[in-house]
Amino acid sequence: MTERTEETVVALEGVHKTYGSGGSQVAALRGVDLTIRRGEMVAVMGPSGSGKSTLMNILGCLDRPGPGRYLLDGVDVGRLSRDKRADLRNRKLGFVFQDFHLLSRTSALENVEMPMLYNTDRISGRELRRRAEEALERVGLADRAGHHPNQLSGGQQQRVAIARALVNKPTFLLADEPTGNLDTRTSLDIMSLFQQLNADGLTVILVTHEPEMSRFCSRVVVLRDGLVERDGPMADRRSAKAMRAAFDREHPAGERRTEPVEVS
Amino acid sequence: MKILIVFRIALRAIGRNIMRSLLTALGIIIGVSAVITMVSLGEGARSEVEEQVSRLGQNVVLVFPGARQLGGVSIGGGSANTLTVEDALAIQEEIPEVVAASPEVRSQRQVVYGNRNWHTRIYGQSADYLMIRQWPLEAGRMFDDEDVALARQVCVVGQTIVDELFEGTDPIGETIRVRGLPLTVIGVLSRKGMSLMGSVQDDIIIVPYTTGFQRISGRSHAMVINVQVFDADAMDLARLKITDLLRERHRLAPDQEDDFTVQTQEEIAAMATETSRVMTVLLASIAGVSMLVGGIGIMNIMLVSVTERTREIGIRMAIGAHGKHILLQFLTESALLSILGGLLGILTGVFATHIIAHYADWPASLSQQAVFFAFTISAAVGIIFGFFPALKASRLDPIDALRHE
Repeated sequence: MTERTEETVVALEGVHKTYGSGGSQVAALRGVDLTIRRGEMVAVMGPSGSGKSTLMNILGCLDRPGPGRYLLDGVDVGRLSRDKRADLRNRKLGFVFQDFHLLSRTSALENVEMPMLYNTDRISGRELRRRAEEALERVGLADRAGHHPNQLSGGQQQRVAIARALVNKPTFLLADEPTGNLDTRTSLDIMSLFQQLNADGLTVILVTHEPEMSRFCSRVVVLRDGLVERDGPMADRRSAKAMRAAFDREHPAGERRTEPVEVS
Repeated sequence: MKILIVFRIALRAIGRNIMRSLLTALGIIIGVSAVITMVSLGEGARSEVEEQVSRLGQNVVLVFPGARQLGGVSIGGGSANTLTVEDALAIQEEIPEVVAASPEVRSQRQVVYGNRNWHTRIYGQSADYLMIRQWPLEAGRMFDDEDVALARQVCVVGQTIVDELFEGTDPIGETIRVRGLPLTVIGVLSRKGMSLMGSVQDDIIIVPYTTGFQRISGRSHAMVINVQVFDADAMDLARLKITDLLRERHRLAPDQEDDFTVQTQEEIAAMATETSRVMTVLLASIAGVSMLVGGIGIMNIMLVSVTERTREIGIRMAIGAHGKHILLQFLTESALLSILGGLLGILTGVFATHIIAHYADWPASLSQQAVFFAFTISAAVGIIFGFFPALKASRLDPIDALRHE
């Protein structure tokens, strides 16, 4: 049995998950044990087919574990109804997706307000706005509150998504390939934001297949064939902020040619 | 979730694709506006019927030739030759409750004045006819009993005749010709306006019935006898007495059916009301069908919308929306869409009612009941037909929905 303390946020005990039925059964998870404590920044890695997405869906309370137990903050998720799991996602989880998943034609501020609309406790319209603005400020986008997603760059959109994930003060942040659609410079920005949030005490779980991104985490969990293959602290954890500074030195902004190209 | 926010989200979804929303609501718009227009026109028609029935005159009883028929009454008459002028005179002479009785004969004839001619209806009536109908003269005089007794070639004309034959000049003293028969105009009727069937009541020439029977129609039997009773309370009594008198005069054995039909104003009014009730039922079924079609249109587009916005649903669910939140959101959207359609339909209907009333000169009175009803029905249609798509949306699995392209 995995040891549990008060600081345990996530405890998976022998979690299995099987898809399909009869002869065409696919075992996505075959007994995963995992404990994550408050304040950790964990990278969940593994090749495709390793059970990474299934694990993320279970961690995100989007799917129920098969045999095995999943305790989130001491709550047994497997026993919860659909609506109770929705409430849990709303209160304890912040999702960040690869495709940002913002609502189009809806301002950044309103996107950030959205999780609070589904809150069980009543929040006044003014308080809603105040908290959303605060979250946007935390990701450095206070001045883009009125912009719609199509008026924002990819990095800015992901920041809005992070603000949305933060607004209900979640127990942990669950990010699924958050830099998959971003260029190197922006990826470093987003990772340095995650590191900063983590430094402020937020637990972050990062699902990724990019080894470089795992190096910004404090711990790496590698899945293979539905089992935890490796689980240990990251030996030389890097600072995304420092790397971003180094990247800027190597690729100065003025390097690209800006003169018009003549076309004959 | 606050209901205001649900409304805001729904309004935004509707506004996102105005053209599509309009087309979706078109079924409802057309249905509602058609219902309002038709009910309003029907309502107007009904009050017009009521007014006309009352304008038949005061305390009027009509005697038609021919027996009461199965499932209805032969009105319009003239089909049987069972009523004579003498019957009319007997009714007037022998029944104390009767003030006046006028045997009626109608013909459609070409009328000539100078180099102009006009096709119109010529009524043969007694001197009391205008009193029975309570139809005042505008100028000149009505023919009197002496004119009737002598079958004088005189007539009173309606406003249409004045307009068409005399082009508005004073016709009194002029002579018009009906198949070579000269008639001197001695009076002009006041204007009555259009009847329900669209016939212009002013398109009429009235002559003494003697002249009408002998010189114009060639008939010997009355098409209708218009009878006026002195008091409303005496209507039923008068009716019984007329029946007895005519049975006696026609020498009908006790086991024989009446060969005539006596109808009071109330009965005619009841018939008209029945007719308009049937019309209302027909209108309601048309309305029902159009609302059904409109509802299916809404359901269709809501299903498309649910599919298109599967990812949005997935995001909302991942972030904590319950199935019922999603259900409420889509239900509100379809209800709002339908209600907006209903409101547009009401506006269109009111507009169309006014246009038709104005240009076609139809009587119309905007039916507030219909407006209220249309509004309620359109809201109900939105909720009923929006329910299935909304349910479908609320049952989506967030994992699949998020992955949806």
